[in-house]
Amino acid sequence: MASFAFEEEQIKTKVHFGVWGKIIGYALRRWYFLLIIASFMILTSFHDSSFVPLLNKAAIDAVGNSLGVPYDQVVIDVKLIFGINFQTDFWGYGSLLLGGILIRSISIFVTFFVTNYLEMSIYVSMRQDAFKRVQELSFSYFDKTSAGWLIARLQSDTSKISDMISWGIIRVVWLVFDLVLTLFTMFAVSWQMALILLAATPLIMIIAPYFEIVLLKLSRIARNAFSGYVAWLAESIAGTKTIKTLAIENTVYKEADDIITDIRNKTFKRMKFQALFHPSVVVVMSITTAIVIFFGGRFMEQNTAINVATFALYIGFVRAIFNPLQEFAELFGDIVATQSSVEKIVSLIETKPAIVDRPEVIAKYGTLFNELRENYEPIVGEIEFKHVDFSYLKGIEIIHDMNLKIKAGQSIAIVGETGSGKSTTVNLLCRFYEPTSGELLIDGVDYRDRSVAWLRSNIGYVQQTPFIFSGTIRKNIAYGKLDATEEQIQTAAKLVDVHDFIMSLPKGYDTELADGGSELSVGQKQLISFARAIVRNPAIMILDEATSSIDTETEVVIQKAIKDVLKGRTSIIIAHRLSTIVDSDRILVMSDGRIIEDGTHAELINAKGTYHKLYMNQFAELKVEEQIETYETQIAGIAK
Amino acid sequence: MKKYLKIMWDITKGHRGAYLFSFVLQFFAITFMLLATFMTKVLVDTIQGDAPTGPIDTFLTNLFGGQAYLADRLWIFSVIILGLGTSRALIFWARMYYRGLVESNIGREMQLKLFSHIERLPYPALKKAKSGDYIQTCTRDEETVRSFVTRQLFGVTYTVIILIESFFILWTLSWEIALITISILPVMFIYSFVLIKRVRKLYRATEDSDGLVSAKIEETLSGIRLVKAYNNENYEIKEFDDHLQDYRRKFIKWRKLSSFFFASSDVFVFGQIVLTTLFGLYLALNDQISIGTLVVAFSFVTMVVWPVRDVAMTLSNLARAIAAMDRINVILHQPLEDIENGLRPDIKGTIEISDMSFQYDDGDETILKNITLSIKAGETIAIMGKTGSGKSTLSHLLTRLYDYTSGSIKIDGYELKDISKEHIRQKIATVLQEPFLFSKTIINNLKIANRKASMEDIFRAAQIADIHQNILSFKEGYETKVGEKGVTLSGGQKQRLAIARTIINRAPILVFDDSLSAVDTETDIHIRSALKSRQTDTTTLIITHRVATAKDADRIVVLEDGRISQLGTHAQLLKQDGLYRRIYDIQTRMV
Repeated sequence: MASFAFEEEQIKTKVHFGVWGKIIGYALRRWYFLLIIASFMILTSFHDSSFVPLLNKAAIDAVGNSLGVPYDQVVIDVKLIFGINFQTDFWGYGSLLLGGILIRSISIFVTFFVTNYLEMSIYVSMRQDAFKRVQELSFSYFDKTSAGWLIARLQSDTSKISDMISWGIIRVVWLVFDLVLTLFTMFAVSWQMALILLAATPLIMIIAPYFEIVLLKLSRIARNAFSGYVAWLAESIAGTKTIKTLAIENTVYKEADDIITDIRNKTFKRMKFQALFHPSVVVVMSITTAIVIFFGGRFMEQNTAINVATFALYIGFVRAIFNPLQEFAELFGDIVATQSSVEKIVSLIETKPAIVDRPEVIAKYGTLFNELRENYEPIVGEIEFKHVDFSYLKGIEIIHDMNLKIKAGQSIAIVGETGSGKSTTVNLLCRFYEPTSGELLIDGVDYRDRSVAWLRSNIGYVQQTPFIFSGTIRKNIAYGKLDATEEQIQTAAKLVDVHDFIMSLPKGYDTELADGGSELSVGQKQLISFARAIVRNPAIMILDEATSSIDTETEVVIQKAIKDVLKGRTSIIIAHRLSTIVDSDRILVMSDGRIIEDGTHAELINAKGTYHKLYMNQFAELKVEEQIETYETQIAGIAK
Repeated sequence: MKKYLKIMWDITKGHRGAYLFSFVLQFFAITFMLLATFMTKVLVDTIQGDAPTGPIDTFLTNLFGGQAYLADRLWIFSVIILGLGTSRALIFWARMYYRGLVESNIGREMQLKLFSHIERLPYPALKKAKSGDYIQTCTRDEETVRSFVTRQLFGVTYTVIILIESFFILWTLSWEIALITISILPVMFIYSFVLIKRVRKLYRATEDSDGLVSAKIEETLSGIRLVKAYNNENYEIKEFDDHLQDYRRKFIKWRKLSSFFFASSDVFVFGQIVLTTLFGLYLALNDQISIGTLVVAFSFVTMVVWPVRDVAMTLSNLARAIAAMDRINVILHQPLEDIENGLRPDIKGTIEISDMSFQYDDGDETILKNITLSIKAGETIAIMGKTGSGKSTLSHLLTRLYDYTSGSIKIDGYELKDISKEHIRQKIATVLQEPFLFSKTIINNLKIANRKASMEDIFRAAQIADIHQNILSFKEGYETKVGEKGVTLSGGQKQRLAIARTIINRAPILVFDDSLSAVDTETDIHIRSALKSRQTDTTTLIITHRVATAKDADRIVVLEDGRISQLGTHAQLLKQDGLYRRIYDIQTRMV
């Protein structure tokens, strides 16, 4: 049983108004919407809580007082709140009711309509803020935070909160108006009856929130069990082949049964509890009605002001008081349920990016969102690491005193085991991170003296898994240079040898790629990524494991593309697959954050050091056909 | 329609008593609610001294001692209201309880039925399907259907019962007021039904647009490295904003219509209420009905109109439930893989393949061509070949994930196709190329192969797979969790765990489907010799590209283009000019 003990989220039942303040700010910025909503809402509430009950009372009074009078001669005494009293006849009474409906419908329409605008503008600006913040944040943030977490924040939390805020405000306003107007009407008609009716309300104010909180907890428990099941289900479907070959269908079925039964029990537990809620309210309401009838009967014997119409009115008020109270409890539950979303989104929006340009740099080169390109210096492409140290976390150094000088136009390959620091080196070069100490010079200038945007506008970057944006092929290539001309795009595609393939598609460059380009092979996707990097015409080219996810056949094509792509540029390649790098001008072998070997492929192979070992290990893992190929092209000629 | 009613009826199977009983409880809950409201009329009539006009109020008045008696003792009404309220609360509680019981039980059974069906689909069908679709059906579709059967349907019956009962009660007092109370309802029902359908259409457009916004978020976040490396933050923000604005437009358009729907159908709702009030007032003034009747008519109409509008909304959403039922049906109607039936012979480990060929059902290329090979029990065979030569397919055929197209494979003299799949998969244990571990503890990952395995067996298997020491080095040892929420294992460690899992059961035939390649050469040798010493008579098939692994085998098979191109011992093959010697040359020179 322990195998599916899913983690259960802690449920907070305290509301922290601090974080809510930030969120409510989004709504308050649209105070004019709130004003319209409130003023129309009060009309609806007035209609439901005061106008209609009092008109009903007037009608009943009229019937009681006008025995034998023909209906078109009846005088109806209408007593509204705020001392508005007048007399009307049957048709006037009818018109009042119809007019009420019309006004109410219009105000409902306006209220809903404006609330939608409110909800949307909260939603849009919250998402914009969160999205913009995500764009500004540095890599250290993304290393600590999974994409899934951020997606959940940007997607579900924002819509949950904007829904909660906008409709929550409506509900609060509506309930308050309803309650206040009902109370006001009640006291206006007969304060004794009003007090009697209120006698039982404290009970409901205790019961309802209690139920809401417990229900919230029980629902979360059930829901967590269910989401655990969904994850388990996905895994079981993914592991089909293993399940079948081990012939463990029965075991897995048994496990499914355990999990599903567990969900069933948790769900039923919630439902059992929920089943108590409404009946308890009914009992309290019945008690209240009984009290109203009991005392109402007494009053009527003593006090002529209370007649049968008042009696009926107050029996109706029981519901009018209890419903809003119940809904308040529900609203409270909803607020508690949204609490954690609010906390998370506020923390996201308030996160400060770790890498920012200095004020004087910004003054000269502009920000990411407002680049001053006219001040950008042209780049040559010379790179120098000067005593660079780096640690992601304090105390754990990843790069130790790195000194490295790369001449413009040189091609460099970095190899080493996982964790040796090669990716970090590239991260530092791209200024995804900054050195903890030492400096990194581009064309002899510390790169922190120029803007992040300047540096990156001169870098072409290709990552391990080719990434395809949804949109046309043209758009995907032009992503490297947003204002690229058609000619530049095609030139880039031709350079990496993907132009002919693109033209062979019925729609050529206008072919829409969906789903991360699932209709293309990995190799084709990677070629498009290369074209994307090339169209920038960057002085520095970085291939971050760009060939790892490619099969051998494609590699031949890519290999050729790489040669063309690197021509005349400073380049840094990180590769797992050593065959990619044998032609580099220099190969650096890294280990524990240090460069331990530096030379050409032939030199390093013959030195029989770490590179030789790495290379041979990898060779053994190649498929049969790859071994033959690799041996012939890379080893036979140089090995002594 | 009949088809769907049957599906829904089938869903309640096993819980029909409780299911139908909750309808009965619903009926009584409504009746008590209406009675309590009706007592207001009796109360008002009593106070006013209006004589009862219908059979029900006459009965109730007389039941509690007659009008004159009650007029002096109004407190009796308090007691009656309290009594009715409490009874109704009890019935209501019972109804909710039963509904919860039925709903959770039905949910459990549907989930289980779907899962067990998916689990037993044949491998080729599973491989083709999108797992997302299955998950969708097991979760969202299941919930849609269940909630329709156990919730929305009750909403419909609630409305029908309350409508009929209150109409009937009013009819006993005055047929005019009864008729007027329901007069606008049909129009309102049709109006709501039609309009809400259009609202839904706009809603779907909004949802689609929301999907695009979400896709954009996901895309940007998964490509964040590129976004930053290419300085395109601003561009992304603008693109995101375009999506947001499109969503906003569609959202507003949708909500405009839905606001109009609520506002305009409210006109009907209140119109019905006002009509009843006015007409009741007219009747009361003409002395055709009492004040009590007026009051009760007003209460009843308020209780009826809202549910009618809700039901119109529910029914207009029927298409969603139907679509969900269809998707569930598609899964439940797929043929299952029969793993139980077939021979269950005792297996020693002889494999006799003769003139066997294989081709995928939907492929036009023959993957394996006229393979003939006989393997003695206890023999170790290594299979080498290039990618696509068919070597992995051979292991798929042996475990009957696929069945061969022609020729024959005999295991200990029994035709493979006649042997139960479950049986053969237990007897031919396979270690797959891609090790798959479940997100649970190491011990549970190992035990999954055999629930009854003793700790000794498990440790022994882990020792043979050379992973025991690694496991002990983890802080929680065998209780360490694997996967996202646990330790991250290296490819080699995963593979060794998968090997340990497979060898817990001492199967007479063992297949390593290129699964020793992920472990280094020394571990490979250790695993194989440890295995050999535990079970000397096991037939072992090793698919590999490593000569060091192959050379110790009794015989080596080289596959090229679906045919056996070379067969013999290491020494024999070295004398032949062919793929094996070439690989050997290269690999020996490399180390």
